Amino acid sequence: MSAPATNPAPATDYVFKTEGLTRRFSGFTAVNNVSLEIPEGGVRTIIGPNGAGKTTFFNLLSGLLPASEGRMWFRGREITALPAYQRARLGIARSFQITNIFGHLTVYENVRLAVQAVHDGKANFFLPGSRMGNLAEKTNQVLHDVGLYDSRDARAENLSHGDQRRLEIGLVIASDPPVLLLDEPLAGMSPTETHETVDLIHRISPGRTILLVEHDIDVVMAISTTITVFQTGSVLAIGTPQEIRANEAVQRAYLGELA
Amino acid sequence: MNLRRALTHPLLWTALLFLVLPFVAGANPFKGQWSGFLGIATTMVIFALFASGFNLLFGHVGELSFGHAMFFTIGAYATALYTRGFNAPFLGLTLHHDSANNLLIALLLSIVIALVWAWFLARLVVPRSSGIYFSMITLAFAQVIFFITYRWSDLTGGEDGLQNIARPNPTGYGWLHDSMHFYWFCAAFVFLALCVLHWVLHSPFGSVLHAIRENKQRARFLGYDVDKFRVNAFVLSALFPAIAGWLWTYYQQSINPDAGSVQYSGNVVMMSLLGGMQTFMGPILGATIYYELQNNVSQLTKYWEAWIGIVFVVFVLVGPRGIMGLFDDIRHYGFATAIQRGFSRKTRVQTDLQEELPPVIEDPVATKAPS
Amino acid sequence: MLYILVALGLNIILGLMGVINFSHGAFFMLGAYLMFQFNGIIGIWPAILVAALIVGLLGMLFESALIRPLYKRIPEYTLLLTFGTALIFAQIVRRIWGDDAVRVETPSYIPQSINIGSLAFPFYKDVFLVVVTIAILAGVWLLLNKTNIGIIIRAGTRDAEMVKILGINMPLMFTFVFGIGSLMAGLAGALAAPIYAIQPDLASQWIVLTFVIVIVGGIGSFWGAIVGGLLIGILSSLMALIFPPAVDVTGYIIMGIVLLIRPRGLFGVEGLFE
Repeated sequence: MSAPATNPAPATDYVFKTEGLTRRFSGFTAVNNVSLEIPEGGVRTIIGPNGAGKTTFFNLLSGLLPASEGRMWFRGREITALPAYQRARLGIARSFQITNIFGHLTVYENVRLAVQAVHDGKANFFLPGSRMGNLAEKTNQVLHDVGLYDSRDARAENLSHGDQRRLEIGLVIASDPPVLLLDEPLAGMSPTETHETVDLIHRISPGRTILLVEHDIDVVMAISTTITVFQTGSVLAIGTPQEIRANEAVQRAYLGELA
Repeated sequence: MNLRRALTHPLLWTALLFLVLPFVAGANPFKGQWSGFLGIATTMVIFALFASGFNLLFGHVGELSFGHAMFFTIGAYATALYTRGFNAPFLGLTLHHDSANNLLIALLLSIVIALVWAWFLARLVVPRSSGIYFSMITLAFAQVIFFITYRWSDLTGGEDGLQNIARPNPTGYGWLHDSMHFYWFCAAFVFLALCVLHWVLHSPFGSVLHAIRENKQRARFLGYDVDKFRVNAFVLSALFPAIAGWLWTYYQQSINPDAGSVQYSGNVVMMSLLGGMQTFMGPILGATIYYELQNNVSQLTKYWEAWIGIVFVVFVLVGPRGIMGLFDDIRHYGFATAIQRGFSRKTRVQTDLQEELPPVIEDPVATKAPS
Repeated sequence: MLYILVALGLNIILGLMGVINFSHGAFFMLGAYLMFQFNGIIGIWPAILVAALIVGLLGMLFESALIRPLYKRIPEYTLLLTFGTALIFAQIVRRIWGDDAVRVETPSYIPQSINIGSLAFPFYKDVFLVVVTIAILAGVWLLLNKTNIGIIIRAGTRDAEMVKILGINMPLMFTFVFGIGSLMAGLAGALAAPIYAIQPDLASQWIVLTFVIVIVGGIGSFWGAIVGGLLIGILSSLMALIFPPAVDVTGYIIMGIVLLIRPRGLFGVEGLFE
């Protein structure tokens, strides 16, 4: 996958499509026969009570887990059996709920690795001088985008939690992907950090599709184009924030929990 | 490159070390032994290369192979058999040699055979295993090679091995028969090979290896074909022990199955850890220290291996980053804190996310009620 | 047959704790040497028991002193440490009992061979040991499947956290399990003493064989150790008849085949028993 300045027009108008997607863990069905289409563009949030299967669904889409049953497509191309690294190269970038960075490497090295992967991830022994320059340029740009340029020489494991989360996002945007899967990017953040991260998401969303799992309902309502509500492994409702707010089944699901 | 970087460049220090070794290796001023032993120096240099090749996989990719002596012994036996000639009716091959001047062909043979075996093994083992499982399997396969050298007596000389292997004689004047000359020959080749290794480690390929060491799963999700990199690293890590084996045969002018034993595999593991497995100079230093210890301690007791074992165990427990790691810590934190860190420090705590994650229990506290 | 016991001991430890003991072979060797040492003093059967018990206790001490600090780290460190201790054990053994092989004298009341039908079998090796091994395996199986402790061990294999919550002292459990695994190795060694030449490199011979059986059978698997061991034992014997030079390599060939078609091992299912 080359690093496009503009994302080429997809063959279909959905970014992900699933058909009967199911995932079981010895006796427990986390994702149950989910068939849906996620349209291109915008911020598509997935919400749901605990154990609803949101993260598992993400894991299926990104290739961390194989499906027990069902099929999935990415922009018209079937990815059901495709290994994770090839999905990443197709343009599906994914961040993790638990910060998943290269601890002992510096911030700069972390991002550079992500940028380097864009060059088909072959990583030769040689890199022509011209491309080397490009790498540095792109790395610095990403660092600026996530606000970590000043800490670029620090070891990733020594950053604050909020900064680590930002590095996590930096890793996913570094390859200029058309699709981003963000798994609870705001987890554990202070209000200021949350605000900054939401800003960042806004900044990077034009021209891309962002799939988001989040719990912070205020944020979700504010930034989502559509919201998909999961419950016990199935989709309860899909709609705009207003539609979801008004949806009775959703209200029952959430309020029922509190009772 | 600025002056500071040049002065602390590991290749510079390696070169300095190699220059100094013949004069100090094995020297023991306390016993009035003021000059070094060339034999020990040569051994150190050869094993520095062996350990460095092994450490490409261990310290830089994070995979512990307990069978790397198999590549060393393949290189050694290939050299021996080529130089000496052999008779293998079972294979339908015979080679007769009176004098072998073609050390480069021997080198080529050593490398090719070792790499072919490494490639075959890597394709079989690497995608199917990792962690200690990988360690166990590499140990087992090394034993296959060991037993071949041990049992196929017609070809390999069996338990006794092969003797009377001529030193290469490229000039025709027997220049390499002199121990000092041979040391410089070894040092030069080893240094060259180490330069190549250094280049690899600092290339984009090398940085991906480090990423894989830190977080295999994340590297995958950035788009790297991690298994392919692991296979390539494995094969590459076999190159240097093979070259070391080539030198070893010429040095000893004989070879026996010990070269492929569990002991030899384990020795380079120890050298790498003692020296500092995540650094370039670590294995080199480790090899030097190992043989220095062996030389000195064996003069005191015939159970010197136990003492090396004790030193190793202590390092595993409190100083897993080895001597270079200690230097690093002292440089950054001062002596007292460095020792303290040795006791509390967790090296490489990050484990790979498992291939099959159990369902993530979403944090009940994080859920906020909808407005 | 004894290698099955050794492999099972290793598998029990591997299965619950996920750590590998490179010194497991050394424990086997110690069992043999200790049996030799006590044989002269208290007779063959008590010597076997005492040797096994001492090794079991040693295992527990070993675990609590040296292995426990490494639990926070990746398992490679345990492998490294136990490799170092294997070296040390080998030298200790050399120091105490010397470099040369020692042999145990079996009392005269044990028959040399026994006749079953028209075939003569070496009594101790082929009959007695087989019976004893089966008995021990049965005992271990009962322990794992029919006792409370066994259930805890099997439950703790994947869910050490959960078991802790139930109030069970996991560190103690680990020490105990390590003791059991080591005891099995020591017992096997003690049982082997009357028929093997006991020498310092016994440890390294046996540890690799044990690893191969564990790989073939599946890490942590009870039946894996048994089936893997039997498979390799039987095929090696066959190989001795067909092509003797390849006897040592038989196990590795089987291992290679198993890796190709079933990388987790014959019975390896995520490291659980059975």
